[in-house]
Amino acid sequence: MIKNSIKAFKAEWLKLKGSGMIWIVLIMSFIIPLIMTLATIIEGREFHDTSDNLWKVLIEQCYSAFASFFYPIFLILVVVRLCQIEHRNNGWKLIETQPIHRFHLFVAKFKTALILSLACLLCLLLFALLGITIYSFTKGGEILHKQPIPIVKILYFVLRLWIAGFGLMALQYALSIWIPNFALPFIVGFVMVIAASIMSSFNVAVWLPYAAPSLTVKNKNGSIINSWLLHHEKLSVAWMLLFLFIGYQYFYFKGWANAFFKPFTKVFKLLAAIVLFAICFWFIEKPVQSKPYHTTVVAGMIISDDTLKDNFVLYRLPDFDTVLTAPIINNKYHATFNGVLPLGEYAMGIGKYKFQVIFSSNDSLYTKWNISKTKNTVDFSGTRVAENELYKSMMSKDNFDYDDYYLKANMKGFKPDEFAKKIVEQVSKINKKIDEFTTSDNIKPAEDFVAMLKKIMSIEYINLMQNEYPRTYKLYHPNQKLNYPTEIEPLQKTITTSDTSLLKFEVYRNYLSQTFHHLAGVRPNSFDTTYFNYIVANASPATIRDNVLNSEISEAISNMRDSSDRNYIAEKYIPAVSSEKLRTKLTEKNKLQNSFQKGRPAPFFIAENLLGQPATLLDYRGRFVAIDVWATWCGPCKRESPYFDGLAEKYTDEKLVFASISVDEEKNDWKRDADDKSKNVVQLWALQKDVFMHSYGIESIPRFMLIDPNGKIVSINMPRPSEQEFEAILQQEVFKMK
Amino acid sequence: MDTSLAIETNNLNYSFSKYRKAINNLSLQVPQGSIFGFLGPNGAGKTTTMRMLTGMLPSDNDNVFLMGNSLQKTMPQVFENIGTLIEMPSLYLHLSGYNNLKIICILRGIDVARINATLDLVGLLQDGKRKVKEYSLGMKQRLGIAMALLPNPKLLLLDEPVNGLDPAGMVEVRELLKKLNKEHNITVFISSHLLNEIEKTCTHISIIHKGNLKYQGSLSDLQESQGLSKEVTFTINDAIAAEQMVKQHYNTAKAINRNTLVFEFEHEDDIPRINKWLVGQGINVSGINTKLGLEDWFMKMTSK
Repeated sequence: MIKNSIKAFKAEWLKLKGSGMIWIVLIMSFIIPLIMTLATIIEGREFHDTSDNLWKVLIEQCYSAFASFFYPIFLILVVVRLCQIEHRNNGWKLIETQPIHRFHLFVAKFKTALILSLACLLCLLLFALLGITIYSFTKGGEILHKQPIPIVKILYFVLRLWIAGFGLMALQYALSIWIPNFALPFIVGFVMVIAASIMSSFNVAVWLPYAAPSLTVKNKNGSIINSWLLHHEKLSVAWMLLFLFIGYQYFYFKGWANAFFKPFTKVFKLLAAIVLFAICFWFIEKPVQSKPYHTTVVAGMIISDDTLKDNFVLYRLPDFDTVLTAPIINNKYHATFNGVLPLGEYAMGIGKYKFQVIFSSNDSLYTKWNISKTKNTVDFSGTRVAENELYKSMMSKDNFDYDDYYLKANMKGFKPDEFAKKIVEQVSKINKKIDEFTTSDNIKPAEDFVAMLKKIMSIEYINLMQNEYPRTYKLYHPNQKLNYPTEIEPLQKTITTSDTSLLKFEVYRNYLSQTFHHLAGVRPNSFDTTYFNYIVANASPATIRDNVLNSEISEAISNMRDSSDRNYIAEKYIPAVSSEKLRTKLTEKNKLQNSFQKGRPAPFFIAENLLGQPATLLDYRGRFVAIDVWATWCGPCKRESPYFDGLAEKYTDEKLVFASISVDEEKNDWKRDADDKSKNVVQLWALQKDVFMHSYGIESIPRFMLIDPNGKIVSINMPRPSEQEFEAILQQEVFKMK
Repeated sequence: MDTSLAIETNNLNYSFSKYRKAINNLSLQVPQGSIFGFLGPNGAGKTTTMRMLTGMLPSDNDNVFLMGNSLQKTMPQVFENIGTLIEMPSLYLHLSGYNNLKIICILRGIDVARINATLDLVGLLQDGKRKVKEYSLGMKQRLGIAMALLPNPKLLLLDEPVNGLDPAGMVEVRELLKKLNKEHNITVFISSHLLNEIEKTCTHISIIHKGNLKYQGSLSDLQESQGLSKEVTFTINDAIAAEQMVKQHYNTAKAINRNTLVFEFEHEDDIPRINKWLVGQGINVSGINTKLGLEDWFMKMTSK
C-alpha cells in the first residue's frame, strides 16, 4: 500500500524532468522579489520605523504582492500542466494499465502539485531574503545587524498560505482531469481568480476557494484567538477533500455517469459527500461569539524601548474617572475587577498613552502595547475582540460613503419624504454592515454590543432628521409645517433622550445637547437660561440630567467672559445637579474661574525661551504682557497667530510686551515653528505644561490673556486677536484710550 | 471461466450512445499460448474492445477475464502479467526513451537493468538517451512495444502494433512476436485491419464487424469450417488475352489484371499440372503464388 503510493509518487517525480515545471516554480517565485528589490534600491527607500521587524515587513510585502494574483495563477498552471503531461501523451492509459491502484496514481499527482506549490513559496522566501540582503548592503548593512529574521513567524505564515491554496488546487485538479485540453481549465481558473478577487472586495462569496490565498495575506498575523488556522484556511482543506473525492470518483470510474449516476444509487454517494461538506462548511463558517468571562480581568504587556514607570489605568468615559489601576511589573500588568461595568467605551492608559476600548464587566481584555518613538499601537485580544474591531472600523474616517456625504451636504435639495427615505436607507445600510461583520477568525460581536452600536450609528441620522433638517426646512419653507412620513417612526423611536447606556458615547451626548436645545427652542451652543430651565424640568432620568447639565454648565463656566453672568448660571443651576461629586467639581471650577478675575494675581509659571533660558512673568514686571497660548499641532492657533504678530508690530513698546507660550510636548517641534515667528513676540515654551494649563484653567487653545505691569490679571480669556475687541481691550487697558 | 484461456469475455456490451451499440454480445475465447488476431475494418469496435479488456472503458458486468482472473475484481493487480499497447503508444515526449521505460520500472518494481536489454530487443539501444519527441513514428511504435514487453508479461495486448512501421520493421516485429510466443509461451492478442499481417503471424483469428463477432477459431480450422477455396495465381504476359482460351480448359480461371491469372484448386498436385499445361500452350509463366481465399471471405464477412 505505502510502497505503491511511493512508487506512484516517484514516477510522477520522474515525469517532471524536462517538463519545465521547475522553471515555472523558479520564475514565479523570482519575479516579485526581483521587482521589489530593484524598486526599493532604485527608489532608495529608507526605513526609519523600527516598531516592526523589517525582515518581516519586507518579506510580507513580497508575499502580499505575490499571493493574491500570481500565486493562484501559479497553482492553476501547475495543476493543469501536471494533468497535461498525461492528456497530451496518452499517459492515462499507460499508468492505468500498471498494477498500481488508481487511488495512488490520483493522489501521487496531487502530492506533486502540493510539493511544487510549497517549493514555490519557499523559493520566494529565499529570493526575498536574498533581495533584502542585497538591499541592506546598499544601505551599509544596517538592517542585517539590527534585527533577527523572525523565521518561525514567517514559516508559519507560509504554511498558512500553502494550506489556503489546497481547495483551489483540488478544484482545478478535478477540472483538469475531466477536461483534456489545456486552455479551458486554465481560463476557468483565471476567470475565477479575477472574479473572486472582485467579489471578495465587495465581501461577496469570500468562501470561494479562489479567494483563500488573498484572505491569508490580508490577515498575515493569523488568528488572534490562538487558533492554528483562520476559518477560510480550514475551509480550504474542506474544499480540497470535497474536490479530491469528486475528482477521484470521476478518475476511478472513468466518467461522470459511471461515477455518480450508473447505477442511480451512486448519486447518494455524491449527495453524502456534499452533505458532509455542507456540515463542515457550516461548522467552519458559522460565526462564533465570545462567551463572557467568569470575572472581569484586564492584563497586558508592553513592548517599548523606554521603561514605563506609570501604572496601568482603566478609565470610565466621558469623565476619565478611574475604574481600576494596576502596577506595571516587568512590562506586564494584571488586574481583576469585582463591580459592575456597563458595556460601552472605556479608556485605558499608561501615562500619557491612552486608547479607547469597548469593555464591560465579565470581559477579559489582554492588550499588547507597542510603544516606540515613532508609533504607538495596541493589539487587543480577549472577549471583546470583534466588538473593538467592528467599532474601530465603523468609526474609521476611511469609510467614505458618497450617499452619506450627499445627504448631509445637500439637505435643502430633499423633500421631507425623500429625506426620510434616504435616512432610512442609510441606517439600514449601516445596520447591514454591522450584521455582516465578522473578524478574520469569524468571530461575531455580541448581541448587546450590536444593538448598542446600531443605536450609536443611527444617532447621527436621527439627529440630522430631528434637529438639522428641520432648521434647513424652516429656512426655505418658512410657512410650512414639516411632516415626515410615518415609515420613519420606528427609526425615530430607537433613540430617546433617556437612554443612559449611550451616555458614554460622545455622539449621543452631542445628540442630547442638540435635541434639548431644539426642544427648548433656543439656538445650539447658547447658554440661555431657557435652555437650562428646560433641562432641569424635562431631562430624565437623573443621570441624563446630570450629564447634560454638567457639560453645559462646565462649558458655560469656561466660556462666559462676564463673571456676573457666569456666577448667576453657576449659582442657579449647580444645585440642580443631583450628583454630589459633579456638584463639587463644577463649584471648584467656577471658583477657579472667579480667581482669574481682573485684579487677581496671575498664577506663577515657568517657561523656557529660545536661548534655553528660564523665563517667568516676573521678568516683565512694569510692562503689560499679552499672552498667546498655542501649540504647533493646533490649526486655529496658527490662524490667529498672524493677527497676534501684527498687533505686536503695532503696539510693542516699553509699556507692552507680546509673548507666545507653546504647550507642545516636544521642545523641538516648538523651536522649529517658533524660529519662523515674529521677532517682536517673545517665544516661550511652557515647562510643566500640565501645571501651567491647570492653574490658568486652560481647557482648549488658542487662549489669549492680558497681565498688568504688577503681575495681576487683566483678562484671563481675551477675545481672539482676529476680532476687533482684542485691539479695543489693549487700547483701553494699556493705553487708556476710550 | 476457463483457466486455459488467456482472455475470455462473456457477452461484452458497450455503447457510446443510446441508439448504437459499439460492441454487441461479444464473447471472445483466446487460448493460452496463441497468437490471436483480432480482425475488423476501421470502426468495427476493435479499439473499444481493447479498451474494455484493459478496464479503460469499464464494463457494467463482471464479464472480462484475463489469465483466469476477473478484471473487475482483480484490477489493478491483474496487470502484473499483462503488457499493453493500445492505439497510439503512450509516451512522455519530453522524456528520453530510457526514462519512459524507467517509469514502467518504477511503477512495477522492475530492475532498471532490464531497460537496456529491452531497448536492444526493439532496436532502440542507440537512441535510449534521446528525447522521444525526436523519434520517428516507427521508433515511437517500437518504444511502445518495448514498454509493453518490459515487465515480461504472460499476455500481450497489442492494438495495431505494426502501424507506422516500414516493411522491414513489420517483419522484425512479426518475427519478435513469434519468437516471444514460441520461446516464452507468451499469449499475444493483436488487433489489426491488415489481413495480410494477421495471416502471416497468427495462430488464431477472429473477425469483428459493427460490434458483432463474425468468426473466431484457429487458422487451420478456418478453411474447412468456412469452405474456403485455395487459389493459385500465375504471373504471365497477357492474362486478359489468354483468359478465354484457358477458361475452356479450367473454368475457374480468371484474369484479375493484365499479368495475373487466378485458378482455384483442390490439391497441391494441381499446381504443377496447370503450370505444365500453361507452358504447353506457349504461355510464359514468370511467377506462381498460392494463398487462401481470405480476402474474399473477409470482404464477405464484413460487407453486411
